[in-house]
Amino acid sequence: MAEVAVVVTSYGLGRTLGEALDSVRAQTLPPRELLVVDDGSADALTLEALARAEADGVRVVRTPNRGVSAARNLGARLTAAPYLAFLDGDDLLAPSYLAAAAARLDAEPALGFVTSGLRGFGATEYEWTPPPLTLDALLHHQPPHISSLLRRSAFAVAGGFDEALRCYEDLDLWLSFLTHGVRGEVLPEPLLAYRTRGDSLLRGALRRPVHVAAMEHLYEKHGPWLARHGEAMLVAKQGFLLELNQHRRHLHHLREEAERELAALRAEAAALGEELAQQGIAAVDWGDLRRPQPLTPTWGEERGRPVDRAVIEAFLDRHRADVRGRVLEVKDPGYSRLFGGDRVTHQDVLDVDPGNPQATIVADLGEADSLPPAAYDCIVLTQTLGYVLDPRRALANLHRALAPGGVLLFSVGGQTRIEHEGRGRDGDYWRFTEASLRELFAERFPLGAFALEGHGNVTLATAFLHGIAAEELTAADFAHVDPYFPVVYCVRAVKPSPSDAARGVILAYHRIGDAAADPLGLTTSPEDFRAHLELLRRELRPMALDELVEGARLGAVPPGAVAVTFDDGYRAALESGVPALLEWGIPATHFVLTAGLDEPTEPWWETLGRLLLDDGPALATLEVTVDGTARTVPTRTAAERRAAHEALRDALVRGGLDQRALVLAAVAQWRGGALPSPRESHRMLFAAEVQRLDSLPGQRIGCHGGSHTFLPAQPAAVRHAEVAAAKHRLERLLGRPVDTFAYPHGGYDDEVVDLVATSGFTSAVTVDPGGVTPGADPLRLPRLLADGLSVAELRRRLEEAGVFAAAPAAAIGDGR
Amino acid sequence: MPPVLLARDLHKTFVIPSVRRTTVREHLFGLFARRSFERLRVLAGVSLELHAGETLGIMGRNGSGKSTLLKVLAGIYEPDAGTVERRAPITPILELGVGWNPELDAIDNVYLIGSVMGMSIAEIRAALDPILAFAEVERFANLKLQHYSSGMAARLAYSVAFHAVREVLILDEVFAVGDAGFRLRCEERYRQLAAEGCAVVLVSHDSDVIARHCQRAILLEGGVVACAGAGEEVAAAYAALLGAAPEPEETDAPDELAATEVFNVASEPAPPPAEPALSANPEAAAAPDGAPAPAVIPERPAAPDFERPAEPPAEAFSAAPRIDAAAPAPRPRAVDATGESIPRISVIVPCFDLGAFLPDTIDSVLAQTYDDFEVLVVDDGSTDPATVELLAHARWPHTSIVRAPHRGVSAARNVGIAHARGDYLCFLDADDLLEPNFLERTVAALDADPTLTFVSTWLRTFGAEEWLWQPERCDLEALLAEDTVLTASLVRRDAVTALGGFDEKMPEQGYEDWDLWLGLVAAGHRGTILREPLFRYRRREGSVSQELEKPAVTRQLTEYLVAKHRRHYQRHLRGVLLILDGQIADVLRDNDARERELTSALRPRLDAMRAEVERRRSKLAQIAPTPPALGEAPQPEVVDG
Repeated sequence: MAEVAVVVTSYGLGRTLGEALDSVRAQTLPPRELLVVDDGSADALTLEALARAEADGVRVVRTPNRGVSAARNLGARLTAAPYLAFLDGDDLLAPSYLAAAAARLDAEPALGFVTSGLRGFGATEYEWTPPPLTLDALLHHQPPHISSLLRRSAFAVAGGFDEALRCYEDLDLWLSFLTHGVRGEVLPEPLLAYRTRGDSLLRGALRRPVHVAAMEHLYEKHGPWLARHGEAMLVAKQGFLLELNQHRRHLHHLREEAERELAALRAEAAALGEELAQQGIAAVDWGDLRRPQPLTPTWGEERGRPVDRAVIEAFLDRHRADVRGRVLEVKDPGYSRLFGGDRVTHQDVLDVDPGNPQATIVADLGEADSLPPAAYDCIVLTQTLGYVLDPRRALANLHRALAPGGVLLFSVGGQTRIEHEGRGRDGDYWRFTEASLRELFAERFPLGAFALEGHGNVTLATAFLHGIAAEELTAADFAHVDPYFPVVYCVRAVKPSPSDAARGVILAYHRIGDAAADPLGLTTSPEDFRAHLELLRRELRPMALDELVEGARLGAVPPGAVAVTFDDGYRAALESGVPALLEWGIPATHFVLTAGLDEPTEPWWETLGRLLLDDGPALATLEVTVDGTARTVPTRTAAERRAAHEALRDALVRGGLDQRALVLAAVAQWRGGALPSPRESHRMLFAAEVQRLDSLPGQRIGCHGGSHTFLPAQPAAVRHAEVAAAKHRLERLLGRPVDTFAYPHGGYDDEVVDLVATSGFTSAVTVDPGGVTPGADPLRLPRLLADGLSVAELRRRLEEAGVFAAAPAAAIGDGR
Repeated sequence: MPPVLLARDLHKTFVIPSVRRTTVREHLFGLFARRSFERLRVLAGVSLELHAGETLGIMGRNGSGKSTLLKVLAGIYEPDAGTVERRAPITPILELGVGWNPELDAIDNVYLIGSVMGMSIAEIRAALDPILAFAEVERFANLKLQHYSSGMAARLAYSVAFHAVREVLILDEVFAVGDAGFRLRCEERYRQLAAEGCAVVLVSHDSDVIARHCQRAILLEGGVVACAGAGEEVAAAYAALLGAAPEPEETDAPDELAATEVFNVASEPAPPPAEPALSANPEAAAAPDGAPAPAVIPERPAAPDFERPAEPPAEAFSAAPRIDAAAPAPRPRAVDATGESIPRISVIVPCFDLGAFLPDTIDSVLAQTYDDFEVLVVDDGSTDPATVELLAHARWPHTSIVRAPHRGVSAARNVGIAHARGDYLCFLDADDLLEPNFLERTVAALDADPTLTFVSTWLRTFGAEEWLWQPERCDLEALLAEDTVLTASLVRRDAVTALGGFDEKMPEQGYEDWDLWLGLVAAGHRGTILREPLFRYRRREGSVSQELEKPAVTRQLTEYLVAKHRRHYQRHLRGVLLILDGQIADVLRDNDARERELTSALRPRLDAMRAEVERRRSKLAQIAPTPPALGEAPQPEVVDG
């Protein structure tokens, strides 16, 4: 049987992704390739799910958000098996699906695809078998489902998914199949489980302009073919409209029916209630619980073990191996002793109250850096965070206090009463939810390094509110987990240890274009650049610069992390480089100069280079004043001119702006005229182009200063203009913060770094060689200059930088 | 004894426009022609006197001035010259319908008109039963007058007058009303009045009536008293006059308040019409398969079988413009060659078994703020007994009923077109309603812009569903995609006839009006949609529009339409598809919201309530062993015998 590749796409589908992947793993015909393409999800839940999938050995590709078409196409390109199935990250495949569909493709080489019936589940449940693929079916919006098994060759002939479409990309694909005469077959069994949602927009809920624009695109694209079926289309669309209107009436009817039934049920419930009342029985038997005060005003300690303690102790018991070495606990060392025993080599007890005799550290968790750094192998923090006014800072503190590899065992209350002990109502600040805890932890711990679990249900919550003790409940009362009625949340979080951490690499590019014509070596050919990106995409883990910086800050640079940057904001980079970046779904940061925003401007070295190095009439000597010294430079031969160029370039890098202007004017005069007008191929981006670039998926703007001067050599006023004023200008242009900086000419010293930091930049890149390691100084990030490198050379340098060392083996080779 | 009524040298002249413009062309060119008017001298020096207890007959051919004389005598018209002395209260019955309220039933109208005629409430109460009995309408005492046939209404009117009269009674053609029995009762009553000393002025064509009842009579001819003398003498003179010059057609009075006429149309369409415009349009001639034009409008029958009260009195003259009017007068009402008023608008109401709704529909026309219209109800061979009964007996003002064999709505409308006299047509379905200002607004729009061919409006539904429909466009592209134009849109008759009327060859009923608008716009005509809901569209189970919601039917119809207008559909394909896509998007979105509400709001609530009911029931079951099961209705007790 031919082999199958499954491409699972996800955008914010963290809640369901694991289930979808499980359904693929459970196939009776396991796919040769399983790839998740995440289309730029930003929520912690999904990022966590992706990390978990990766930890389970699933290959995950992350791209900036470009739409599902681009994500699926990328998935297709990164896989190679002859049969291809896409799966939305919230749908499920029946175990026999791939085997059944692949068997048909094997048996009938003429078939381009095999699809199946589907089963709706979730908000509404139904079964549906799509009609055979015809124009009429498509016009009635009844296409085969998106997880149909495709013969890769048919998918290629159809041209894949249309990335210009943000909706109806499936309709387009099937239309392409039709126009190319690709035939398929329908397995009537419902082998795809299609999740229906009551809370989120369904496909049908597109706004009219979006829907119409997509259709217009389809008519444009398939125009000639569709024109032959124009009348049939008209009739079908009219019919479809009518069916929809009928369905609307049907829904209206259903709604009226439901409301009638609801009214009848209410009446019946009331009547039954009355009947019960006549028998002296209340509709709800409150029993002992009907009382304004809880049964036990405390947590239930008088009656036995409080419910929350029972849950927490079970959690700690499961993780007792983590309680070892140097341990910190709040208020008393009870749990450390109970669960750590002999493994605890050093015990600290934290309390904000200096009156606590057991306290070895008296400090406020909510105060910055109130705990010793990297001091503990384990911190046990139960039911405490709600009493800290600044929980964010508390998390920062805890993270800081953990030694690398250390574990935080944490719990906090869910549906609970207000504290009555201690400062009581005045000290009980917060209740947390699953969502807020996930975000809080994700700020400090890498995704995948913490696990969050909720415990409880309405019985447990009620018992806890009344102070009923754990002994009065059954195991079943504890076993059921209702995410809507949690009593306790437990989190186990691990601070990454350096041994896990890999090196990331930041690549620096300048121009993309004809490299042969560039004497300065700042140009990469479009072909090489594309090959670079393919290498990055296939073998490493391309990510945005800020993501890499954040990873370094959290101590978890993901394996294979690599970020792409462009300096100077050459228009050629936008024209020739960005399309390749978008195609491969690779983010990049573009450090632009503000000098070129308003009028056509070449970087000064381009002007100097073309004046001095181009062939053409020129004087035998160049009279020029550099650093206050008038010099006569021989320029008769090409070699002399190259030497002059290097000397002047070095002088201009370090010199001031005035000298730069004077020298360039002198060289122009030597050439026999005024400064040449800037070339379109070498100019820098205009303001509007910068805005457009910023709006493209994954493309972000960084600041490269104003006019590209060597900052350490500049007076304070010039530095300020080059750094702070340029930042301000870009932020005004883009309407949002620009927080990353690239030192022009790679020049920085401590003062410059200070200026960059105080100007509000949170990261800055140099051209110092090297990889980015956890804890790297975010304002002195090394980069690898990649201009003009062959793929082999790039690979060699990346290996040198150590980025391959920790790249996951699963990422290599699958799709080749 | 002095006369109770004395008239001396009465003169009366009317001014009427002499030209009737019937086509757009005539209207356009007519704008530049001098408008001509005709002076019609109706009375040219008539004198008479009437004494108590005397019956005076007035005879004369149509147009001789009889009705005008009566109105002058009754004080309804002022004479141009001459005097009328009235020395006793006069009870005239000239106009059937004047003062009568069609919204009230017969009893209320008797009270109303009786009061107007000077009866006290007590008198009316006492006379009520005799009045109803005399008119033979006891069974219909509670029926609204608007549903009375003209004969019933006339009998009731005469009956009230006969019972209200004190001293002088003026009667117009009383013995032409009703059947022989009613005439006999009238004659009896009239003799009784004369015996009581009542003076009566009696107008009739009937020499026999005049000879039998009138001591004295006068014969009017050309506005003067041609002959006066004993009843028998004058009756003989009138018979001689008729023998010399036969009775002209109804020229005496424009029939403004003419009651329902009934025509019968031959069951087969009449031969191709003489009017060349009917088949002149090549667009209409080119049916989808190249066959000849699908619709043939039957010619108006030359001699319809009229059933109407004889010589209804004149009222329309009063609306004729004065020749010296300084301000721009309202558009003059047209009259035809015979002087009969030509309505501006013909409202054509095809009716097949929709008797249950028809009265409301016609009422909505009769209640228009613009009143220069006729209503043509085309009975499309109704078989439903209630409808048959209604169409046989109900009579409405301004309304004619045309009977045709059942051939579908297109054919029925085409029959209506053939009978229509108005320049503007309005095709109103028998179950829909016009808002009161529909005609006023649409006429104004058509009048204001000669380049417009039709004027539609927004609509509001009523009945089973309520929603507002607000179409924006009715250009070719929009119309190719969707029928955005009301069937009832006001449309120029010329354009409709030029197109050949409605397509009678459509495979199913439902899109014929869409086809008409499409044909008009494709032929270069232009329409507009007024942005007000002036039309009320009835939604009910089982209507044609519901029928249309069957996919097979619409598919067939759409295919027919697309094939028929193929050239235009091909040219506008993308635009039409995109319009449809827009609508599809809206409904998809709306359905999605509805589905979401059902699944995430209603169903969980239902489930929760079901569980709660179940819980309570099982709780009850624990104490009372056999509670009734869910949904089980208590069994009714069976009583034998």
